[in-house]
Amino acid sequence: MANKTNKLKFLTHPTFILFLVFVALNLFFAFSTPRFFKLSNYMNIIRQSTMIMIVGCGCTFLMMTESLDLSVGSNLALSCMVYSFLVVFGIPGLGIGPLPLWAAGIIVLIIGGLIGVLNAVLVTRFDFEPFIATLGVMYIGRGLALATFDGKSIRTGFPDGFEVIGNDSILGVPYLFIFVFLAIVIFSILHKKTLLGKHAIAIGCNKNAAFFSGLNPKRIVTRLYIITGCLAAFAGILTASRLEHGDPRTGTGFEFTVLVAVLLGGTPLSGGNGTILGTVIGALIITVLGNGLNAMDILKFWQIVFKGIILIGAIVLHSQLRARRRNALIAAGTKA
Amino acid sequence: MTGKLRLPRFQSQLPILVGIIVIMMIFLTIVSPNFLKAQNFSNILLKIGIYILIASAANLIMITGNLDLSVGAVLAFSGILHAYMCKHGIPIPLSILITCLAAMTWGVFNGFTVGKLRIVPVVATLGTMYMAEGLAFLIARWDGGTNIMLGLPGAYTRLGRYMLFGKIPIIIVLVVIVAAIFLFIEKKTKLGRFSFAIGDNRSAAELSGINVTKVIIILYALSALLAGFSGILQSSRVGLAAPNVGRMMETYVLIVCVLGGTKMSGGRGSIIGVLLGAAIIGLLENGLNLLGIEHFYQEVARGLLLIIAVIAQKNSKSVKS
Amino acid sequence: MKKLLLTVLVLIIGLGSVFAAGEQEDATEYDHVIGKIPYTFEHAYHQSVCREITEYAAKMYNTKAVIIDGESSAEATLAAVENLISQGVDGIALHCGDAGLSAKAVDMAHAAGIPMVTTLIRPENMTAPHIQPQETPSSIYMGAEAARQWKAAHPNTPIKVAMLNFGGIEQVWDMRTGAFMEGVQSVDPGAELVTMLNGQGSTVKSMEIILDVLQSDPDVNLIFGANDEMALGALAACEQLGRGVMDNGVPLTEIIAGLDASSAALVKIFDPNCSFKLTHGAVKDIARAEVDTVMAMINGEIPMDEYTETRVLSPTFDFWNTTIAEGQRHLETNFFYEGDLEADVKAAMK
Repeated sequence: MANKTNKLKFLTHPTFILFLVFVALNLFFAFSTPRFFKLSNYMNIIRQSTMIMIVGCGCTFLMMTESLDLSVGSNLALSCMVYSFLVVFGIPGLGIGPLPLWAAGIIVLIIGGLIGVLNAVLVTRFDFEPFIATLGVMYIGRGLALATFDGKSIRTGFPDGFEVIGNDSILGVPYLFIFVFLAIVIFSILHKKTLLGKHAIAIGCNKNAAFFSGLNPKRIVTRLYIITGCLAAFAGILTASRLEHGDPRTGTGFEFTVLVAVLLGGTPLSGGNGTILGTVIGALIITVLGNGLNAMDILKFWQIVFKGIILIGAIVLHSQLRARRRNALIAAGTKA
Repeated sequence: MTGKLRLPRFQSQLPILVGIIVIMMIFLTIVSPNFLKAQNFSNILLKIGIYILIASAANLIMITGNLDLSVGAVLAFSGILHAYMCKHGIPIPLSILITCLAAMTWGVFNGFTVGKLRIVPVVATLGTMYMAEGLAFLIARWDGGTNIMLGLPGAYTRLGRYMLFGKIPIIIVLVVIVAAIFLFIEKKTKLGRFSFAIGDNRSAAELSGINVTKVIIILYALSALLAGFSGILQSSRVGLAAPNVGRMMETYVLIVCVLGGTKMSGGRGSIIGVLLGAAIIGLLENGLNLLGIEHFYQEVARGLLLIIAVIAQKNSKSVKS
Repeated sequence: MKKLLLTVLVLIIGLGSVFAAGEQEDATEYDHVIGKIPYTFEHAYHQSVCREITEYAAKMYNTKAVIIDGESSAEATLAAVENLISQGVDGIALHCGDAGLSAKAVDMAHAAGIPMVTTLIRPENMTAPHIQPQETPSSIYMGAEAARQWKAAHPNTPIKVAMLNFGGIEQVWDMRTGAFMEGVQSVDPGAELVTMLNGQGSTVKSMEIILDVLQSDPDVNLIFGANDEMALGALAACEQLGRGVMDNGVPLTEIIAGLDASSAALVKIFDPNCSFKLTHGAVKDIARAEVDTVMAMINGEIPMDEYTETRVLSPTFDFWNTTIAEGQRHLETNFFYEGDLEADVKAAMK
């Protein structure tokens, strides 16, 4: 009996179902159009979902604690602009010339972290709803990103090596893939093996209980906001390098793409649950959907409609399966 | 969090909101000589009129602890659908009726996914948003373009530009009526009481015999209906229907409700707050344009105002309690 | 459970095969496949360009055009380029908002051996053929003509300009807003640019902004929208304030100018009593130049890595110097217009 239950557990695990959905989508596109099922296309799909996955890792943790971050898109754009500005112009106000890439990168990561701190202060100290706090920060960040260079893009004067991390490969593997892989591994370990992951889930399940059992939910949420801010800033650096210019309009709507990826991946807005792997598959599903519908030469506006239908369909399927699985496990448990 | 405590609590925020509005008005009067004029207030009211119409229903949805991100897309969809039907010979009143019904269908769908299937409102209404937006673009494309203006009957703009007694724009009249209706719903009807109850504690509300699904479907239908009607009004006022007019509308509606003291987790909020929140947004947008501020600093100002206004309310609350 | 999954799987593969069958027919039917990336598929202008490209390529070259939207975003445009390259199209026509990204796209396409033609925004590296609609001179002309008409009617009123743009994109300044201002100042050096705000290409947003602008400065008498949608929004705002009118082509309250020369704009422009009076734009010539250039490269008639500039006129339409018949011809050839412009103007006037 126990054996059977384990089997059931694996087959009906939401992440596994999600993976099946992903495979089904791939099969569908592969059979529909000869332009889809190619190695180079899959390389593109991973490349194009890099930023969603990297930022999604942080957002998954945040959403486990029943928080969320809508400022990631603006943070990404601001980082993209500031990074480009620093390596081209330096800090004119202080008489500092163009900075080396690594120094600019560190400054940008710090700024990204500070945006995380701002979010965290609003959420933990002033007791904001995360949605509102990060929405406010989203507006501010977008405004600052545009103001960095008067609404224009920065596209000349980059030092050598600026485009390396976003475009080049090492032994045939693009740097972007390495970063994504590292992010997934690190955050999966954080999730499964460290206290941070367990605490995040504990907070999401029941904040009061977590507090009384000796955790400091505020401190943990603050840390997670800072991590997410830094990840968004890192994604901004990668974007600048990948686009080979600083674009203040980049990342518009990115926050909702990440949110949808995390939700598809099985992390509910109410927290207490979630996996990094799920978010990764969620991000891949979103990208494959856009890529495949484009390859089939479907009219853009039908694509938007399909996106809506598939989003709702996937979540409905997901929640039905989860309910069924819970019932099945409960039934198996009582029988045993 | 008992019923007795709630009432004085949220009313204590109203003076803060009025205070913010007064400060903004004094500031704008000083810096812009053209601010304190009747025409300008009419401009502001016309601009926030649509927000208030939609937010009055969306506010009740937020009071139940849900939210509606599809209002902007439903607004755009309805404007296009109405224009398309009018252009192709359907009488305007009939077209308005059909459009309102179509808009409500989106709302009922939202209510079904959120209330019955218990899907997270963010995802459910985001999905509806995509569908309605895509269809709006498709209808415009079937008509042969991306906006519908040519071939609209002459009477098309009559509704949106109608002036009551030759003076008061129809949108302002409707805002007053709708706000009054929702004030009544909020204070005097079962629907209002049930909404607060669901927001306070959904399971408790369910156990005490409230048909939660029905309430949620009704509220979403109302919100979509108002969004749809706003789309008709707006396109009739401009004399043109375009599928991209609803962008960011959902965020503005959300901000209006939050500025008005509505809690996103539900259980607290009022239509009076919505009116004041909309006034703050209207003054901000109007002031930024009057002063000709660069659009990127406008974004920063929006974010700062949102944060400051919410912090001011939080402080007032902690002082009282 | 297993049955359900199996059914779904079978359904998917079945559906896919049906699509695949259709697709194979496609592939054998056409000689070549080219990709087109518009700046954004949402605007009437770009939709018309894409439609012309699809039809012209099919008719003249028996070639299929695959459209992938650039979504007015750098990432989406880059992704579209990557995807078209991996799909192995024979050529790409790109209209991207950024000179740097265009250059990168050209390099990527060339590295894969795919010819590319760029439109409107000149790439920095200039290593591929380019289509250049002559927007700048037309914008300058429009500015000068609007200022002339205003000065003829109101010699003593100083010119005050308000503009609606897409928010700080410098090419829009070079080719549209800035050029327009240059034209205005060539007639009246004292003309003042009162404000320039982001109308986001939306009619409603533009209407709200212009209401506020006219409130803060009621003396504004020239309004330029960087596309027709925004100009129409400005017109709606003026009309609401009892302005927006002309006395048989003589400016009374203000003059409004737009850009794209779409049917909605021309209907207003040829109405003698409406203050929206100028616009410029072309669709057909640009689209055909894109297709012709790409096909010439595919067929080896011109080298794919040499900069050549094909200049395409962006004709101006205004009430004073063009006729309704010219407008009619322009709409028929550029915007797939099937109506009668004169009748539409009359209908819209009532």
